[in-house]
Amino acid sequence: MLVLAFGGGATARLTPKVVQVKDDLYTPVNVGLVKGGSVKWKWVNTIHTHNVRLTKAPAGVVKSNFYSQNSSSPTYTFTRKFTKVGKYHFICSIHPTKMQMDVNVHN
Amino acid sequence: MRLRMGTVVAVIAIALAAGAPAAVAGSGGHGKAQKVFVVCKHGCKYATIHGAVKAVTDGTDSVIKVRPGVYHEGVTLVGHKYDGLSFVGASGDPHDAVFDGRQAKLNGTNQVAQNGIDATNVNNLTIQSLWARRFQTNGFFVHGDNGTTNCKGFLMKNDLASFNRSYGLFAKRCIGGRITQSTGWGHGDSAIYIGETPPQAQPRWTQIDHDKAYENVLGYSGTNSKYVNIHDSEFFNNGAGVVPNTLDSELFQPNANGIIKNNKIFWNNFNYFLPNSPVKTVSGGLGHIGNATINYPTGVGVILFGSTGWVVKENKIFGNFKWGAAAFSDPFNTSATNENNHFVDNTMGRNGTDTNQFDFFHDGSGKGTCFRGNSSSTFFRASDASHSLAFLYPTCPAPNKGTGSNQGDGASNFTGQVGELAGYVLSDPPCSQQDSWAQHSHPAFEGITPIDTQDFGTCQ
Repeated sequence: MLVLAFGGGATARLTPKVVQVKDDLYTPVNVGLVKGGSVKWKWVNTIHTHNVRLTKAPAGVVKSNFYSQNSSSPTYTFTRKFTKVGKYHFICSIHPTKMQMDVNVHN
Repeated sequence: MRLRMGTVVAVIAIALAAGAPAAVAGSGGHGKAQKVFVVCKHGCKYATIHGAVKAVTDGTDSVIKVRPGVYHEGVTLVGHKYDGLSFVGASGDPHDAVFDGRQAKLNGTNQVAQNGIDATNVNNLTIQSLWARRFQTNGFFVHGDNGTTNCKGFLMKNDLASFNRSYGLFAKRCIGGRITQSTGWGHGDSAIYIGETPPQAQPRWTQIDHDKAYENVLGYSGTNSKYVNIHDSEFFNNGAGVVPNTLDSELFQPNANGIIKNNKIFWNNFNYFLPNSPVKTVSGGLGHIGNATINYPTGVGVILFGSTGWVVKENKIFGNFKWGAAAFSDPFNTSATNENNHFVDNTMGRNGTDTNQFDFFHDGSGKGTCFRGNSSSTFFRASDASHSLAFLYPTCPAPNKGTGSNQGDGASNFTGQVGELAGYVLSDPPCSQQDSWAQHSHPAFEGITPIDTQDFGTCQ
C-alpha cells in the first residue's frame, strides 16, 4: 500500500497541469501546484502569436527561465517545473492586458 | 612597439581565418570599430548562428556575418544589450544564407525554433540579405514588449521570407523601421506585417518600400498600424494585396495615418480556400455572425478596414476579380470606423485591358472617405443600397460625407453595401467567394504567371 501511495503521488507530480493558450486568453487562469510540479502550456487553434512570460515570482526565481518562445503553432508546447513555493504571475507580453494568469505553488 | 607590415598582415589573416570577433571591419559610423562574428558551416569560429549571438556582449557595432549555408536553427534576442546588432548574409544574396525552420533548433537547445530571428526589446536591429523559410510561426520578427519605447527602429533589407506559418517579415509595437527590397511568399497570414504602432506626438514613420509580396493570404497586413508608408512595391497573386486593419484584439486601435503610393497591386485572386492550395490560412475567421464564420475577403487589391487618415495614391491597381480597392468599417467595433481616407490619382484596370470587377467598394460609413482623379473608375453600389453613388463615393475633399458612424449602408439589417460585404465574407464554403468574381484572362505583365490560372481543385 505504501508503495502504491508513493507511486500515485509521483505520478501526480510528473503529470504536468495543462494551460491552454488561445486567442487571446489562457485557460485556466489560476493553477494550483504542489512544489516540484510542472505546468505545460499548450497552444490551441491560435492565429495570433503568443508567449508566456513570468513577471512576478518568489525571490530567487530567474524569470527568464520561464520565457517561452513567441508562437502561433498548434503543435507548440512549453513546460516548466516549479521548485519554489509561492505565487507566480505570467503574461503574454504581446497581449499583456488580456492574457494574464497565476500559478500558486505550495508544499 | 612598431610592427613590420608583414607581421600585421599575418595577424589579421590569422584572425580572419579563425572567424574570430575582430575589430578589423571598419567603423559603424561613429568612430567605433565593428565587431564581426563570422558564421559558417566549417572552418569559422562559429558554426551556428546561435553561437555567434551568444558571443555578442554589446550589439552596438556588432555584425553577425552569415556565410552561405542552410542553418536549421532559430535565435531569440531579448533586451537592449542587442541594440544596434546586425545580421548580414555575407554574400549579399539572400538565397545563400538561409534560416530553415525544418527541424530547426532554438538557441542551441533541443526545442523546435518557432521563428528564424525573434527579437524582443531590441532597438535598431538590422537583418539583411538573409532568407527565413518554413518556420512554425514567423520568419523574422521584431517587437517591443511592455511600454512603448522598447523597439525603436529596425531594418529588414534584401531579405526573403517564404512559407512561414503566419508572417514573413513581422514588426510589432515598434517606433519606426523599414522593410525594403525584400520579398515574401507562401504565408498563412501576410508576407509583411506592421502592427500595434504606439501613438506618437512626433511620429517616426515606418517605410515599406521596393518589396514584393505574392501568393500569401495577405500581401501586407497591419493591425492597428500607424505612420506606415507603403510605396514602390508590388503586391500580386495574394488573397488580398494590402490590408491595413483595426481589431480590438490588439493594442492601440485604430490603424491610422498611412500612405499607399506608387505600388503595383494586381491579380490578388488567390483562392487559398481551395482544397489543393499550397497555402492555408491560419485564420479561423474574423468572427461569427450566428453560426456563420466571417472570413477574409479574397480577390481584392486594397482593403482599408476600420482605417483613419490613409491616402491611397498613384497606384496601379488591376486584374483583381472582386474589387480593386475597398473601404469599410467594422459594424461591431466603434473603434474600427473608417475616417478621412483618400483614394486619389490611382490608375485602375490597366486602361481597360485588365479590369477589376469594380474598382472601388465603399460601405459609406464614417466621415470623409473620398475619391478623386482615379482613372476610368467603376464603383459598386448594391441594388438595394439606401444611399446614392454620390453619397457612397464623394469627390475629395469630403469631410462631412458618410454615415458618421461605423454603421455603413444597410448595416442595421445586412442589406445594401454592408449586405453585399457580409454575404461575401460569410460565403459557405469560403472558397465559393469566387462565385461572385468577374474572372478573365490577363494580358502579360512583367513575366508573372497569374495565380488564377493554376488549378487548386474544385470548390466543394
